[in-house]
Amino acid sequence: MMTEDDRAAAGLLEWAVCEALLRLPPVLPPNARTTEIPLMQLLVKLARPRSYVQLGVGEGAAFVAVCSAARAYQTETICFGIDDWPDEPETLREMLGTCYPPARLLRGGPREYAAWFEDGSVDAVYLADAAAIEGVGALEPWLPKLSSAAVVAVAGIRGGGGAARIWEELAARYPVRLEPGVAAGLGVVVAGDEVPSALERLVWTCGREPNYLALIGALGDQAAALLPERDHGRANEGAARVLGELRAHADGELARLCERVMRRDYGEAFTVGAVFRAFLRREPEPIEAEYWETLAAHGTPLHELVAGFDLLPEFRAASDLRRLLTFQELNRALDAADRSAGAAAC
Amino acid sequence: MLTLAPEHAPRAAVFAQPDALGFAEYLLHAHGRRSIVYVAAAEPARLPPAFAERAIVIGAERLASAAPQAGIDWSGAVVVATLASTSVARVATLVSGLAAVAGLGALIVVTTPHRIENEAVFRDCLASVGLHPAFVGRTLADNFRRERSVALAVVDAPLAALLAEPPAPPQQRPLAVIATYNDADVIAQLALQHLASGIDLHFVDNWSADGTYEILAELARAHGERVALERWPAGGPVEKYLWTELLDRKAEIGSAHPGRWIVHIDSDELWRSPWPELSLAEAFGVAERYGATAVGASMFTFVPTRDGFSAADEPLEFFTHFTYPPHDSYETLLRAWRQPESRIDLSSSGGHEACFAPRSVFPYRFPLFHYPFRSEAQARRKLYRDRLPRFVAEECERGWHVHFTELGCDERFVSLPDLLHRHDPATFRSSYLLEMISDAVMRRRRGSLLV
Repeated sequence: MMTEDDRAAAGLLEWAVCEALLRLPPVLPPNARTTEIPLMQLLVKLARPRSYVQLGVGEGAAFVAVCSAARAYQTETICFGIDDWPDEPETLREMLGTCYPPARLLRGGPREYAAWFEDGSVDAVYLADAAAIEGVGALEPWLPKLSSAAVVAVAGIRGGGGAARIWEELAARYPVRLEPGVAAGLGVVVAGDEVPSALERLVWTCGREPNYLALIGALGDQAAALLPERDHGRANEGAARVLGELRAHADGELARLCERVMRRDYGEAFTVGAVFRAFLRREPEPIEAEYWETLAAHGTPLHELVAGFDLLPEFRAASDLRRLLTFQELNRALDAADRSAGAAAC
Repeated sequence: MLTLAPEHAPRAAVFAQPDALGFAEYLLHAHGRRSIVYVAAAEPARLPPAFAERAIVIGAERLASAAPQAGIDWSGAVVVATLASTSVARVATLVSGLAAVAGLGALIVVTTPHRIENEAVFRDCLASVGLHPAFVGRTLADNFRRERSVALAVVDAPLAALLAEPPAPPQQRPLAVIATYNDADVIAQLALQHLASGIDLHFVDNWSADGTYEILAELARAHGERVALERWPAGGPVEKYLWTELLDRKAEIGSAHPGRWIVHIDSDELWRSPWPELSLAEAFGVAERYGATAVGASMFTFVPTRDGFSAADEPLEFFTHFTYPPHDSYETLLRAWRQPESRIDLSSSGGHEACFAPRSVFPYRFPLFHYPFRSEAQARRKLYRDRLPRFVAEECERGWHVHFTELGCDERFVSLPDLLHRHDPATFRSSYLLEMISDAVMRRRRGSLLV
């Protein structure tokens, strides 16, 4: 039985999760892989690592996103990006110098730099590209460096090869893990026994509610597709067209979602319905909170309410993209839930 | 940002007491001193290379044996030392050396090497050899684990002497000039806190429509000459939030009180004394006797962790968690000044800095508690009705009001406590000493936690 306090805490966690997953980093290196960004942002927000080491940085999209999240969430994370770049990564260095000074790029192999860190001192390690950084052995020297609050993320765990083998080893060693369905696979293990309670609650929630993991994975896929287009649009005056399409698409998805949410009750806690409600609560209330409550009490369809929020056009562009991502995924998850319910009924 | 090749990389990424080193640099500038002397307990000292290049590094024995003859102008130095040693005798040598250079005018930042349970013991230990700290608190043990476990003391002899005197406010009670607009849920509680700490209040109400003016009128009736109230602009309500003009009005009010401490405070802010045993007015008295004519602040923004704050709640009790300012623009909050004969300039900086000359800034900041968003309903009203639609476009183009304009339509204002710093009233001033009295937060943001 959930108490009022439990419900309030669940609502706050939902908001924290939604906000981080739907956040778009203000800048990213162009043409970069972005699949893992939503989950990495969420990890930064909830795990609040004091130190972060990324093995394999490449063009730096994930590294910059993590740094941007550390800045936005004021985690005071010191970030180290290690890669064996053939040349000095000047462009990335300049970008970081502007957006996040507490970051260092270390050129070389991960083994060389492991000795640089004290045992038990690192809160987060992200193995971003196992293939490019010495294969299976890349993570080994870093395991003693992990602190009691550590998390380890590995990219490409479904692609076979070194990353998949590393993931198998990690999963065997650390049973607490998140494995959302992000394209190409991103896995996270909780390696420490003193991780922040918000992260503990996320892990617990994901264990109870698979839709959370599905949502994280789908948002990663969406970000991979949409972020480069967003940056391209910015540079080529195509932004208006892209955003217009997003807006129309989001409105269509919302209408479909509203219709089905009005039809059924998705339960009290930790369901996609609850995530949806949390997201709706984030929309700006029109001037007076009472207005929202009054309309809701009269049974006004949700999509009309949301349309009524269009009072502040200058603040809508970013949320359009967020809405599309959320509504699309929620519809997808509900489709799956319906299919599964239908199969059970048969 | 540096890119380091392995052969040039420092030996270790971990170093001790990062904020203490940064604080020494802060003091160097705040006091206009010329050098930092780092007293190494062990050789070689494990310091960030950039710091080591700027500091004079000497051993403890040299400090003790040759302080006067060391070729160092101690009256222009900030000395950083850790009482780390393998023997009590060597610690005693170091402490007596510190006492010697303190007598020669050195400003000293001294820390314990390890966790200490009770910093009062540390204070007493220093006092027993004649080192009387102006502040004692805790600082980060290292740049990775960041436990606030080691004790830090600031030995500023002139300031310690003032603190040893009986507390006394300035001759005239300081005057806070406070602009208000629809703050009925919080204005009375913060006003009473300021009054209780010896501050008089002059409210400039921007034609509030939520009962704020009526609350203030009642407050003025109850407190007589200690509370003044006006509605501004005098001609009636205006559509826009005229911040520049409002700041000019505040400066004008201050100009009527030459010699008095004036504090530019927003309606959702609470200035506090950096010393728990002194009221805010008495703290301004200390700053004045120290020779300062301006005092800056470090802001701590309190965030609700549950909804439902109302006028019946005390902010200091209801809000239990805080965060640091989101923008670098908060680095300078020089908003208290001893009024000169002529009017000071407040509006050029958007209200962040009282500009006048000559100006002598107190080198230690006062804590400023900020309560901008107190409940979901209040936050939305403030953001979407009272502020965003009313800002003047030219002010936004100058980068003002960015803490509002960067918020989107999808903000929520109640947060998980895990994502914030916990405020413990009993230990706050000690636990967050350097965040309170210096620019430690901004230094970290600029990379001071990295080698």
